[in-house]
Amino acid sequence: MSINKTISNHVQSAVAELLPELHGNSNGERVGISSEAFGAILGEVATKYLPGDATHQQARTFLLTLRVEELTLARACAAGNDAAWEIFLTRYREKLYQAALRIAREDSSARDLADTLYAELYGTASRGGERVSKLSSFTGRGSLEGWLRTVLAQEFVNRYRRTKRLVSLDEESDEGSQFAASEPEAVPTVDARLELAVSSALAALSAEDRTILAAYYIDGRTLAEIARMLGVHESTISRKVDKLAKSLRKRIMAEMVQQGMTRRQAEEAFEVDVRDLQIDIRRALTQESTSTAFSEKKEPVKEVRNR
Amino acid sequence: MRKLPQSVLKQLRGTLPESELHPDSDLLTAFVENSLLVQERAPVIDHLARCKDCRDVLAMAASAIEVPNQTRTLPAPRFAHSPWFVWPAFRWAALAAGILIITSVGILQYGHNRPTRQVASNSLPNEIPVSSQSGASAYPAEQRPLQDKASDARGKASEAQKVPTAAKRRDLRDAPGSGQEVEFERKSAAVQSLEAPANKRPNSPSPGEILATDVATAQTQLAQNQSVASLSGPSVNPDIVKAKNPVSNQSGQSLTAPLPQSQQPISPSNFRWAINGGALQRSGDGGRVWETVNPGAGSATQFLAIAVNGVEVWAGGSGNSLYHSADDGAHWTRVTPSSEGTSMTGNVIGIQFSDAQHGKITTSSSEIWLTSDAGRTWIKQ
Repeated sequence: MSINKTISNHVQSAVAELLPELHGNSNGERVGISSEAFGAILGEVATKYLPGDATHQQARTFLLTLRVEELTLARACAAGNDAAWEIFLTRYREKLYQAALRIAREDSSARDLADTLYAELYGTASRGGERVSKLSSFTGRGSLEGWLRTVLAQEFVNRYRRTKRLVSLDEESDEGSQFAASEPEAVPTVDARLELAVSSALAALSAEDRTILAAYYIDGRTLAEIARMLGVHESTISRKVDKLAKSLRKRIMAEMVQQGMTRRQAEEAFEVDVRDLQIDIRRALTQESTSTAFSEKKEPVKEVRNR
Repeated sequence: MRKLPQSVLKQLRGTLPESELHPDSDLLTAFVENSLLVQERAPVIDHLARCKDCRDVLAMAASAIEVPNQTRTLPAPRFAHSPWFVWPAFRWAALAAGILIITSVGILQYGHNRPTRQVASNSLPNEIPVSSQSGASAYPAEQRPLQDKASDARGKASEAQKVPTAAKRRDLRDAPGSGQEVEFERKSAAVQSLEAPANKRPNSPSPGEILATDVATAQTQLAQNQSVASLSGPSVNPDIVKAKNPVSNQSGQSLTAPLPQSQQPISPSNFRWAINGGALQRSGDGGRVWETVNPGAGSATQFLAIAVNGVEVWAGGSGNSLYHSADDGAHWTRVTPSSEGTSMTGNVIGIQFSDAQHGKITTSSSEIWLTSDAGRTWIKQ
């Protein structure tokens, strides 16, 4: 774990203040994590997520939200503590396979998915010849069980994308060149003013709203799935999607009129637009980005740093 | 569902700069479990709006959550515990409630709009805000003993059922602890809901940061948070939950009337409750205006879990803090579960009450505490 930042004084004092209580709660002794070792873990986690100028109180609040028991368990497993592994397996082994099955929806790939994760949890050889367990990156921000599900889902998305890329490469060699040639680079179907109107209408939406729209229209998620993702009721999402789509259209029209188009022109721009929908979706589906989303080498944290 | 034009889809698809890193597994997990700090949530949701991969991960991880068996035995709906988007819903709910009271025609419409709420409540009239009569007076909350107020509220609930005239919604302007008067607004629900500005939610917490409970949800289940939180513990024995308990509850309410089922009716809450970035909040107007409630008076508790069962409110969080209010948050008692010389430790991360008496507390130290007498005695599981 590469933490370049030094631990701030506020974090240090908050850790010192809460250490006896949190170490007690964490049952650290049971799995061989001493108070000092646990203090170091807390300092590392807090430094990872808190802004450099966090106050003592902020650090304190942050530390109190951590799942300390699961944090010590994960870190003790990573350190190779047998007692910790025993607890971990008792608690999570079955759950992990169940979750993998729900994600992969098919027994053999679920087994494969879970086994891959287990290998990573036990530790894969790193540069120095030392085994590094994926559990050493767990920070106790959410539950350990939830974290395992997230990690499984990330692994699954990565795999799925790799497979998809292979398939689309195959297709391209079969019939691709012909298809690609028939498609000019810039398709002048979309009126620039329409595009501008769309941009400003979308920008006016909150990130939550855009997430809902994207999950529904781009990802093809069901209302129930979106509801679960965001922890709200399905009927709420249903109303929301419909309302957003309606108001978005209204807003785009208004924007175009404001840019000097007549109502009729605006309507026409829209109609052309909808007609092209099918073509565009096909094109969009064939050109997926090529970057690997969740590479193990990345330490993808800093983006969501506090402001 | 209506279609979106191509240009919208294209831009909605968005682009993610190569350099932008994804939120790590811990943050995504904390997002789903609603345990991010307030200031952490915005960047994550902003990323989600633009990143299909992370949305896929989130959707799959959420779909892999195991539904605990015990939730199926309770007549509780899958429960919307966030009011991010509920304002249109609640305006209509308020309007529907008004119509319901005035004419019985509203019943059908209401049921159509909010089926889950009907399932959730013991009986239809309980859904009506307990406000008909109380709207007329403004009295200092402090001067009333707990029991009086509670039974008062119950009386009004039954009156509200009998006198289905004008529904008034009440707005609590001041925090209960401040010693100021509780004011009520006299307006019919219908009128008020029509007046309500559509997009204005002045003091409301920003969308998406809230974990809220539904006022009328008689059976409170904190869906994901709770079920995730209680992962290590065995589920509540249904026998314990269903067991009859003749002991009157803590608040001294006259709830001991012999009732056929173990679920004694609880007055409906006048508030929606939420945890927003560690603060306990309630809203008396369906989620537009939120006020922070501080049961511990001064102590800085980071609230992590809440259970609302009508006017019975349980909230807990950091530093083994657990508070109970039997009167919709006007008065609070700190409760420290203990049995045989050991007390609860850790942060309270899960609270589930199947009725006023039977509850289950889950802590970050993986302790599970059960009560079957509204928190007077506890069993450590």
